[in-house]
Amino acid sequence: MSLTPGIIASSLTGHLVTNNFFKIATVTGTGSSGNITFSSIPNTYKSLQIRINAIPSIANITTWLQFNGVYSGNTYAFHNLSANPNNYGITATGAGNANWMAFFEQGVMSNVYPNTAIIDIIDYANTSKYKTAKVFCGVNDNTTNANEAIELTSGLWESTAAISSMSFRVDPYGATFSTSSTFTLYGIS
Amino acid sequence: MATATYVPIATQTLSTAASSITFSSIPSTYTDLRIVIVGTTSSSSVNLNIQFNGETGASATTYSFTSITGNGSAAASHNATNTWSWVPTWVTGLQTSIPTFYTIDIFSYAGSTYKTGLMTTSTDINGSGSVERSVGLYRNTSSITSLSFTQTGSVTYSAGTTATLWGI
Repeated sequence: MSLTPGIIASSLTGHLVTNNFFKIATVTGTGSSGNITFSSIPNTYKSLQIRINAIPSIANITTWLQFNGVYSGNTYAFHNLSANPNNYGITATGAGNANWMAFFEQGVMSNVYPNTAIIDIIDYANTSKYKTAKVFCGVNDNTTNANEAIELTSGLWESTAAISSMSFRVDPYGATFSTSSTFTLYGIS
Repeated sequence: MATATYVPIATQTLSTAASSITFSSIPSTYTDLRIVIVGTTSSSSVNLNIQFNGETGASATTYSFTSITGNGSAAASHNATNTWSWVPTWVTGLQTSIPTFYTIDIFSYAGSTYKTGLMTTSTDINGSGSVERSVGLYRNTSSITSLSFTQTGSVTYSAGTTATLWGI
């Protein structure tokens, strides 16, 4: 390997562990289900982060996020800022009194290239607060068509229940997650 | 039992100017990588170019990216296809004296699928600047074992530029 002059970090030793960011679980797609669920989430952390690298079986869809198996009751809301320069430019959308939080909200998911997201949920175990989530997600397919976007989303779940499970779903669209899809849940103390 | 992660694999602080910053021999034992860079360059408004696995120069066409940006008065979006690097800063770019703050998250870097990354850029130069969010695609199914932040021509990263590679 030829490198231009610079500093090379090899011999990667002497690692430091911060000890406040913990991997709780990883769930991998099966190719036959469009519902990825983390259950029995411990209430011992301050915040949760979920990191997603996923490919659904159908393109041009969104992903739904729901908590504690609550699929009805109109307790969710979300706002979304999204950019796709060759299709809709920049757009801002959202929904209130919904039954899910949506990300990749403009129906931009690719069924070929990885769709990625970082989701942060603060005070998820607090029983006196509603729950707020922040989503940073994106997909790029090296074209100027519908399957590229960079998105920022805020989400609300109007419940004071501690979050003990969460589901990421594309099954409402009849889609499944490929076996190369990974969803990893982290706890932050 | 939960496992502690988010590990600083390596940190570099340039003691002298350099045309590139490279992390090599990246272990494959993590799920994702995160790089945080705070830096300046020898010229203003230049790109941070991100390349993988020893690719250098402008010959590759396996990269692409999409971004949204705000510069204090307007928002805009951009994309580029078949490029030779990821470029998380479309508008303002690196500066000679005021640091620009980048984060780059690379997902499933050791997997056998194409690689997608999420990037942020924060630049404020007291009167101008930008905030940007970007997504990049690297159309290669090989594990990422090294990554480089490169420049073109005679541009260099200035002494004091710091880069930290994290494993998550």
